[in-house]
Amino acid sequence: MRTRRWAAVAAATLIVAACGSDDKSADTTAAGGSETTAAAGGDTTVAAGGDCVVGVSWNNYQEERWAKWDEPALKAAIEAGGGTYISNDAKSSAETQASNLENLVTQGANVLIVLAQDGTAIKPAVTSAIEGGVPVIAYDRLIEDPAALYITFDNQLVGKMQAEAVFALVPKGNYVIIKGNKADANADFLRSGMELVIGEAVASGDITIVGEDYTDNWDPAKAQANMEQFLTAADNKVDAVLAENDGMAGGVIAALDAQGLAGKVPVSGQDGDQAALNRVALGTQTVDVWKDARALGTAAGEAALQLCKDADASKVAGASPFTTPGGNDLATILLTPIPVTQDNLDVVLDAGWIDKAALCDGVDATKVAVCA
Amino acid sequence: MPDEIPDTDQSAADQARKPWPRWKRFGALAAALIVVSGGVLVVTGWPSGSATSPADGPPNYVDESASAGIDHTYAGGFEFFVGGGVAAFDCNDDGRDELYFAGGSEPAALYRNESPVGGELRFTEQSSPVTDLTAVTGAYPLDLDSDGQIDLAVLRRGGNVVLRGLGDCRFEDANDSLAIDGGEAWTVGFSATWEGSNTLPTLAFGNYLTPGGDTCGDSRLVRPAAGGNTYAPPIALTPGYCTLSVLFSDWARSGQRDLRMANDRHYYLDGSEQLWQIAPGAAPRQFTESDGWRPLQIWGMGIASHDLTDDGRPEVFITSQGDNKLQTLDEGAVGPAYRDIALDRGVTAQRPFVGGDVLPSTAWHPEFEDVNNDGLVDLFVSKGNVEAQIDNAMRDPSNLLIGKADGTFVEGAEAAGIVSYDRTRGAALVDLNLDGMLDLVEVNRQVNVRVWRNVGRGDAEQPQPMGHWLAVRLHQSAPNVDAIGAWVEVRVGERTVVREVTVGGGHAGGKIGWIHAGLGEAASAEVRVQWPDGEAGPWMRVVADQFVSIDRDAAEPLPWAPQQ
Repeated sequence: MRTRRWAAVAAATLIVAACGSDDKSADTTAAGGSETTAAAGGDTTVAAGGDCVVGVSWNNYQEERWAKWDEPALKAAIEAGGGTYISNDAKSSAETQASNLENLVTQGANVLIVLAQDGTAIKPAVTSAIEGGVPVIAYDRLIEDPAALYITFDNQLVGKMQAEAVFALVPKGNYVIIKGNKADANADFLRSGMELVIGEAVASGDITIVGEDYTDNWDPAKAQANMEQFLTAADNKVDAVLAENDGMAGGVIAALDAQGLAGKVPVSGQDGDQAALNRVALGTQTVDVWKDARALGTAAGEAALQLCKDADASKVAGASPFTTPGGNDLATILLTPIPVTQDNLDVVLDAGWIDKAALCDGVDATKVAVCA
Repeated sequence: MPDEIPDTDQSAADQARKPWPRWKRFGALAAALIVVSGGVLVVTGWPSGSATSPADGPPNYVDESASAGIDHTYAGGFEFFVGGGVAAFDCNDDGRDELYFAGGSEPAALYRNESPVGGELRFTEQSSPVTDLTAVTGAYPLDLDSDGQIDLAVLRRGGNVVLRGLGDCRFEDANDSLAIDGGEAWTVGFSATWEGSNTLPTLAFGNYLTPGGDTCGDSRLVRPAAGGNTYAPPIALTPGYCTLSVLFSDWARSGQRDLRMANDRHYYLDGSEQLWQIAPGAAPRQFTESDGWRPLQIWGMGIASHDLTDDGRPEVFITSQGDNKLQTLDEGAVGPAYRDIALDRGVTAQRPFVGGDVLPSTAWHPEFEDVNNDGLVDLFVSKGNVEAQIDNAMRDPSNLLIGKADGTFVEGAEAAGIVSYDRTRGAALVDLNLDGMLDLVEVNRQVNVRVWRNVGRGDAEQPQPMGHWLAVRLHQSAPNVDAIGAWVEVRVGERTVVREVTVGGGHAGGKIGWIHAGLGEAASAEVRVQWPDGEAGPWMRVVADQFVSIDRDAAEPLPWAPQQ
């Protein structure tokens, strides 16, 4: 499953490496084949106290999001419950990550939280940890081990929220649906959520789907090209577009704009990308379903503490069985995302997710309250 | 092992004509490689006092892209995100490798090599409607009809073409005369092997997506027809998993050259890397888990094969996105039971080593070659974003991993001077100016081809090799005059390096001709050829720093010198 990056951090991740640009992963590393994160201000020591040692395996710690959003929430939840946080950085290597899991256990981790670089490749190491008595939380990215605890946002609900916001404005008319990567199960989860909202209207003929397709790699340029074709085929008679993420929504809106339709045709998205939130403020994008990473970190930290006491994932509060694309039933905590429209942009502002300048760039402050 | 080379008469009589000798681990290397759990590799593979020199750093490369006379890019949209290969081969008998570049939506191009020996790289385009085909993704050179002229298997999106070499770098379309069905597939991979005593080689075409669709097509096996001089209709290799590279190789040293496929998991749901059993006269059959084959799901782009552990059975490096893979057979494995040692050896190369981009790399064309002539093979890996994939690194330079004595590799592209941020695809490490040092050619999406001249520890004005070297080309009587499928063994002191002669692998391109070996501080080496039918020739002593032809029917290697 291709993992989607958080485009909101795209601009910020071109870090000019200050202390040497050599990627140490090419060197034979010290025993254990990994290193604990030495990020500025990061906690790299294993505390003597704390019954519950939570080992967090980051796939790529240098991507801005983890240190900025997920890690603080994780640590706060763990430490609030008297636990200890230790971590590792796999530097985008699935092989290193497998080695890192062993290393965390050697360092005393009682439970692991794994943000998989490659959910398929890491599975043997996860299975091995679980069988060795160390429970594992699959953090945001699925790992198909039936005994793991999976914590993620409810993607079907994301799709439902995308459709709800648009359907409220366009209960009847011609719809285009721009989906993500075909081989990515999330694209179908999102679509199934949309179906819950528009299915009846489609069946009754109130809504006609004049174009629907997957988009290779969630590529915005491809989404734009597809949208252009759908507009041409429908002679521009398109009343609403359900785009599954912000990147593609950007492509869709560019296509609409070329036909003078931007701002007139509701469009959905998700991810809370800076450009997309700005479009919501501008009025060209109707909704941006936002997944607050802090909620993910908090949920995982709390679940880890519970697993320390009882390793059975199905007993964790808030977990229920979820059938995965691989046909496994995993105990899963599905978190609720937040649909952001022009009416509640303060949510992302208050969270510090986006600053006012970026959110309100080009926005008529008299029309949008948060930009005043 | 003999301490001295027997004289000619005695060697002819005494030479044991052994069928397929089982490779035995050398006593001196018995301490072998021990992998400690947790990932630390303790290697005592190279005995102290061996004739190999201590590992040196990378050589210096001089960028001669602007002056080499090559003006060519790999162009096009989605259809040409993959591919972009280069074929290196001599088509005018001067010992220098010409270069044939895929062009994607633009025409392919053939460049004649006119570099002075030891001098700056110089090429001249040789245009012809026969070779300047569009929709070319890559090409592989081989003497398919064994007439002494190199032919080209030209891979295209929408109809592959075999071009017969006519000499003097002229070619003609041979699909009709060979009864080759070019097909309509999107072909990026190719490999060839001679099965049994066939006149013509068996060909494998690695096919990607079905053109215009989003499902994987089937690759094709093309075998000679009963008459022997033309081909039978292709055999579909089903199921297909979006193949980007294929390689016939005698992975088990059993005498059978099976077909490995590198596949792109981006497009398949239930697929894997594949290994096909190719037994003469039998239908191809996939190795399965019950044979020991372990499913591996990667974004497989290119294959390189080289024995790194000195057990005679090659390790296989496969490029991907994120981690690259280095596969080795389990100790005592009977079937194809591979496990990964990329992390142990320092060749995961999963993300850019310079330039600040922290996202995973996209790797394409790998090659094992000794670029610093220290006797330890190095590993080149071309890199570049597929196009604008935001999940992967944009500034993604190619790697030049320098082999060390302990079996690990250290990144050296920056010191070598070859760092670029182009979207590189195919590449070739070849001695373009016949000075014993391997130069580098890179094909790039949307920007010009790059060529770098290897000047060793010297500079542009005064190149200086960092170690002794040898270049060998093989010859036997038809069929298969270049002895594809042979194993070349080069022995220095107590250490023997083996190399399989193959057509295939890499990404969308390959090379043929001189087989290069670095010798480090040794001023001579012993060379033996195990010919494709299994028969081993005699050990021959060869003085270093020269080009030699080894003819199967000749008792001695024949030195070759370029005309200036």
